[in-house]
Amino acid sequence: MRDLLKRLGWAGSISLFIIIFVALLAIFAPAVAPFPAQGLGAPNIADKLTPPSAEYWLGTDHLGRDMVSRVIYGARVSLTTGLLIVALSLVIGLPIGLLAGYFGGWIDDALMRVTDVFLAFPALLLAVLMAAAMGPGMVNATVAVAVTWWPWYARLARAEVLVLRGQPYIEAARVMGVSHGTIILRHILPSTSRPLAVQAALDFGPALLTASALSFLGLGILPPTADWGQMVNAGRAFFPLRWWYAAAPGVTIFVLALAFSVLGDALRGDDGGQGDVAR
Amino acid sequence: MDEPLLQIRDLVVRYRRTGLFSAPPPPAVNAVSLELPTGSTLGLVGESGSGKSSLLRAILRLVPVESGTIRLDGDDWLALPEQSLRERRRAIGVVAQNPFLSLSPRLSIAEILAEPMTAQGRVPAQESRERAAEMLERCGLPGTFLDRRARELSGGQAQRVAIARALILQPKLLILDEPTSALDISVQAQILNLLADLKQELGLSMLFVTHNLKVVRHVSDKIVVMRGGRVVEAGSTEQISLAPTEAYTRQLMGYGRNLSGAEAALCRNRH
Amino acid sequence: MSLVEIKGLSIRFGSLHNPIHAVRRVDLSIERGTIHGLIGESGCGKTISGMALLGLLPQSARVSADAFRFDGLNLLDVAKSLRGRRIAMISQDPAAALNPVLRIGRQMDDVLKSHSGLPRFQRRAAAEELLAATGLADPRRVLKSYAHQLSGGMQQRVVIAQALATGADFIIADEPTTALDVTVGAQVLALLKRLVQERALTVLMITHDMDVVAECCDSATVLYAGHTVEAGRTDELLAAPRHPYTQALLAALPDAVAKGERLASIEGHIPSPFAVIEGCPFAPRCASAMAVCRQAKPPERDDGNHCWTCHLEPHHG
Repeated sequence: MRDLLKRLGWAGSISLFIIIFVALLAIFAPAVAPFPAQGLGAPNIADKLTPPSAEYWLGTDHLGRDMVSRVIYGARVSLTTGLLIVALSLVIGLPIGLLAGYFGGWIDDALMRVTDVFLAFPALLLAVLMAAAMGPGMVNATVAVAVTWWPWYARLARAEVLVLRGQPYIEAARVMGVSHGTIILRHILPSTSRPLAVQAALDFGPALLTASALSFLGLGILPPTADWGQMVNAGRAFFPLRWWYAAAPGVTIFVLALAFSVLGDALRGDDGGQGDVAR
Repeated sequence: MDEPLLQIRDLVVRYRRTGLFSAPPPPAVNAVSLELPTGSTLGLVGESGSGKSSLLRAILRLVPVESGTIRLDGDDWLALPEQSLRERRRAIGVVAQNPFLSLSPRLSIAEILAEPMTAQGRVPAQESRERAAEMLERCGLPGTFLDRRARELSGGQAQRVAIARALILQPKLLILDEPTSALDISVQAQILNLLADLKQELGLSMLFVTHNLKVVRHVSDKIVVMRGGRVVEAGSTEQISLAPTEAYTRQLMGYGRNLSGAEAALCRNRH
Repeated sequence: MSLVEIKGLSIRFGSLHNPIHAVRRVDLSIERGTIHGLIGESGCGKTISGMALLGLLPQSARVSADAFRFDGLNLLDVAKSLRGRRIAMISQDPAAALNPVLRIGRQMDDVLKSHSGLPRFQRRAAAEELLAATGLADPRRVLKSYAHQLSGGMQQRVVIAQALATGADFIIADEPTTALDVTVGAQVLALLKRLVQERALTVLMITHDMDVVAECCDSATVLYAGHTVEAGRTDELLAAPRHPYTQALLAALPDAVAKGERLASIEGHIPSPFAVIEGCPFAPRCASAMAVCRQAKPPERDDGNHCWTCHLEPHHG
């Protein structure tokens, strides 16, 4: 653990702690949220739009629900969405990139032209179109964003493979009669996992933002489930007079996205050792 | 006389044209024929662009061959289908120039040595480890090296591991591609002695590619000199090193004797 | 007086308590107008010694020496200011020494601009002249080319021309032929030999290749584990080596024995750079080592034009 923190530097370490902290809050939301029921959506009209106070640290929204509880419950949705988007993009993009880079020739041409088509669309626009077509909802929002994101992972994986494929130890394995599948899984995949992990960490923040943007536009998670993007949108109507409503989820999105970005940078900056992490 | 272990006839290798409308490039290997009798060492000498690397890659079936034949151990090697090729590849072991590049950085020595065995089919872990340790000891390293990684070894040790890997499936032909040019002189002597021992013990035939003429004269029974994709001269080591007939061979072999001649030759080539 | 005079050079890195000894005790003396070989296997400190001459050592290096003089100047004080004016360098890989995105003409001009003070049109003529002097047949075309359009041998000639353009009279060549083909390498060595004669240059040739030393060096110094073990005129050194390490190194060459015979290899490993060496650095691997070799520093011996450090009494005849 100490070694990890040393490698990450102080900024990376702080970011890691922020992310772990938010993740723990999300996991134990029912226990840590001051008003679990309100976090889940139960209205409390009597206290609506209360400014931050000793009882409601971040104030309440237009239905009187505690913002602290709403933000904590929102973390569950937002973190899951971010994770799913990145994971789904990896699951689609990585195999395509590996195959295209490893086999080259017409396989490469075919796969990369498909990839280029997806890259040609502005990501958010495509996501909006998809979400509009499939209807709002968390699963649909995730799929919509992932569809626009996997090409980046395919490109990155392919670039890594092109470098690795020329390495003498890969050629040595081919000459020994090691099968293509074994070479990809045993020699190439472990070496690509490190840059891809860095990219995934860097992308987690933008994934969060894009998912929030979809919710903000009303195409993502629907009320009463707490979601940061949707909360910012709702709070917009009361801004700037009741600033805390939009600010609480907005600042949280900002901090978390920044933390992932800094963490990704810290991971990328560390290139000591040849990928023991990646095994 | 027996059929030679490796027999190449009129081999032509030509790479793909670079663009749709560009002319096809000249062949990288142009009508090369050579023979490697069983139990002997053939030295292959050539500078960059001579086609020796393409020739090696063709023997390993890593590049497509335009025409010509390669017979290896009685097989029409180029006609073997992909499926049986994988099994027959065990007839060839390869040692590359830089052991640190040719050994995977993330695997242990035991895993590196097990890889050729598993490529040929399932081998029980215990047996694979025993065979690896045995071959490692043959190559002059103790079995305790099995749990190290390549980057923890010196250049000479890593090259011993690479040789052990090349030999673990008991190939008949060992291809050595500049096996000592990345090593120090004293380590080079150790590796050359080791190769001589292994050749005798295991009855190996060797194709030894190098640009170091002292090394090639020391190890080879016969020498083939390549330039511009063609064989310019071939013959016994004594014949090639003492009485080369081609000017280019003389220039190569004369290195260390007549430098002003080398520069004069360059001036002539330019004009 | 020698152009370069180094006595007892030591270079350490790392902590004071557990230092890494990159160079332990190197003596090096280079006469004007000669090519001097610095021979050794990897880890012997030959490249680091060359970097010290150029003033290219990292800040963390701790350098000490009894004498470290270039043309009478103390290099420990002035190395940085001599680099690029009187001392130039040719590296192993010419492709890496040239900028891939600038034409050769631009790169030559940059060097000449900062060193010659010539006006622009004269600089162009000077660049052509220098390239021609390195044996490049068509200097105008070379000036218009990018590095990747030239062969390895031509690139190395351009690098040599750049070194000449600085006006340096001392060139450090670090394995200048290792990345080149045999015949091309021979041409580059012949070129250096010619330039030394024509332009009164002095060259330090860092190499591990005995053929290169035999080919072009007037004299040479043999390093082992950061120590100078032997130095002298090349013909003496190669024909009658005195130090057991030099003897072993020459005996390990493939042409030292008849074909098919076993080569004499040196058993064991070079000492770790962390090791504290009390006696002779080669003692653990030396076939003729005595008890005293492991305990006391070997004395310096000299037979006129050949000096070495060894406990063994020189036997004559």
